[in-house]
Amino acid sequence: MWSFEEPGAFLLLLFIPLLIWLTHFWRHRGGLIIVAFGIWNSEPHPAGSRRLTGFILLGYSLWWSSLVFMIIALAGPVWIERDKIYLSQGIDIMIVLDESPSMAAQDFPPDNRFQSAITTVESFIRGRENDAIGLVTFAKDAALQVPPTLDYEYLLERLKNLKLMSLGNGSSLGLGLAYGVLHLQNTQGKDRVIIALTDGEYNAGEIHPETAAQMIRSLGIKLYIIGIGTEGRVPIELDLPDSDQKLSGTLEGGFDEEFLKSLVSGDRGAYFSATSSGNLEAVFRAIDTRESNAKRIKVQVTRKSFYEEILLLGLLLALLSLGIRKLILKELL
Amino acid sequence: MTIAFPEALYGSLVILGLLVIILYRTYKVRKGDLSGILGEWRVRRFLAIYRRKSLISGISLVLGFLFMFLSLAGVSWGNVPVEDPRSGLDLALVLDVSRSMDAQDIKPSRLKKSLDLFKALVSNLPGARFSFTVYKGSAQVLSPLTQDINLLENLLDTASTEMMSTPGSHLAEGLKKGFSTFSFPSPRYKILILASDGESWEGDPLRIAQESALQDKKLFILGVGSSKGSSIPTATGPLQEGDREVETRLDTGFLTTLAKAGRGEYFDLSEPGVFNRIKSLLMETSGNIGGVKLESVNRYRIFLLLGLFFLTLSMVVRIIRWKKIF
Repeated sequence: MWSFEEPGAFLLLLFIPLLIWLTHFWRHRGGLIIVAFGIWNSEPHPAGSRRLTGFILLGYSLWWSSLVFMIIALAGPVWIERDKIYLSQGIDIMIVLDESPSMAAQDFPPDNRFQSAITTVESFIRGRENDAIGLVTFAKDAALQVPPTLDYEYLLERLKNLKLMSLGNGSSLGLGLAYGVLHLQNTQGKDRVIIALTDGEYNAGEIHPETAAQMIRSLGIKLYIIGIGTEGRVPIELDLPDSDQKLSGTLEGGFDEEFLKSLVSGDRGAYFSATSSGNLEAVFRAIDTRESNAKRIKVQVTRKSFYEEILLLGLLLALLSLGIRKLILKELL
Repeated sequence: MTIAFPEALYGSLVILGLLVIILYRTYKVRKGDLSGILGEWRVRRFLAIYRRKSLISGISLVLGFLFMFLSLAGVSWGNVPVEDPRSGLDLALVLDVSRSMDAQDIKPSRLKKSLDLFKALVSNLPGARFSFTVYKGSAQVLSPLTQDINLLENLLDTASTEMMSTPGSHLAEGLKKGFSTFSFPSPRYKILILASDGESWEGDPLRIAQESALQDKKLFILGVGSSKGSSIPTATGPLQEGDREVETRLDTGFLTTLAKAGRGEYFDLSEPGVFNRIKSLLMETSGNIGGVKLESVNRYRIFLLLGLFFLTLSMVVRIIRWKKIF
């Protein structure tokens, strides 16, 4: 929102018409010499020429405009922004996302499981405020993509660039959860939460999911596991990383739901099953509601002054006007 | 007294110098013209007034522009207390990973010494959030602001001059990316800590530091290296350019100016006790809980008003007829 720190300065604009009248229309003004054209031997001074009139108009228009800009600068133009500042610490959330090849199954129309998960996670992130959110992905291996941060733009950029199978062929849920724990253990959020999305069973990695779940419990971290996918045969289409090859076929859907449920302890988390993109969104909304917390907020007003830009413009116009009047029009004074 | 944009004053010297020359030349030439146009019977009276009017109008014009440039320079003096709800620290660590950082004029090397200090900061400032950015010919944010100490320690353990392939030393880009990690609103003090030997091949780091300082983002600089200079070791011996051995020196002057532009501090990493000095300064800064801060007052309006007065005076002197003559 635009505002002015000293709007009273605009009263000075009232003097501009007076100065214009005195300079251009006052019959008794000074600084002029009345001479007869006859004293020249050559052509009379081409006072009426279009070019000269143009320069006079331009020179003085620039001068009066420059004064107007200088008065605007004096009024102190500022752009005011109001930002919400959180005075209380939020919770720390780590999203652990499966990027194994089976996530390419196309049972979440119009996307596959992976794209649908990314879209839902993205809208979940956009809905959170003041909670540090991180991202771990896993397939055969696991990797921290983003540490818990409030820099959501950075996080969303990394989320958007994720690719299936960049961490190999397999599903090491245990390793993914362990990475999540590792990068949450030193953070200082009010509460710490891991949200894991997987469509498969544990079939790779050096850490068993149960071991990772025990670590999570011992550190008092909440664990939400979302099993995504449908039962039965599902079409699958997959672009192989670092090549132009495309794989397509069918996948036998389904996973060990009981096993995933067993990883979650009763009061510190929950297991959800998502069989469609709408369902997945509902699950995230449920987690979002469960993990809402009281926030202490202050509105911070920041003011960016623009007087320099406007004054610089005024100065340039004034110098240009002076150049025209002194060097081209050859004014006396 | 502080001046936000001293460049405006340097520019004014050139422009005002030119203006004085143009006004003086105009006066001299027009004086000759007037003698020719006016008859002998009135030339003396005209010229006496013309001289006085030219002098007053010219001085007013020059003073008018001088005050306008002073206004543009953002001259500040005096402080006013303003509410400052900030507490805690957001620190953006920015590391120069250009090849000159392999020089061993401070032991074990410029890079290792910088990384040791960064590690000490990360492990000794509980509650602070850190981001980590490296630059060479380009810059990259390796971690956004986070309290994830494990990740930061891991990144600091693996940082090397080999981690980026683009050659060069784009300090300005490093600063830009580092400051960009403060993009979201936060009630914390925001300080960028740059470790560099001062080589800057591209961009305008001073401008970036000044602009960030205006948004309350300070710049602390760790100067790494020695003014005596050193060769750059590689696997096949010192780095050569043609037949000549490449030598790199710490540019203390530039880095001190840069820190000043960023309203921060300069520290020479080869001096003993640097870590304690930085730490105590940071603790002192972040210790201000819900208090007030003193903000210097930009007095641009005083100069702008004076400028407008003298520019108007220069016009009024022209348009008022003196002694009913000129």
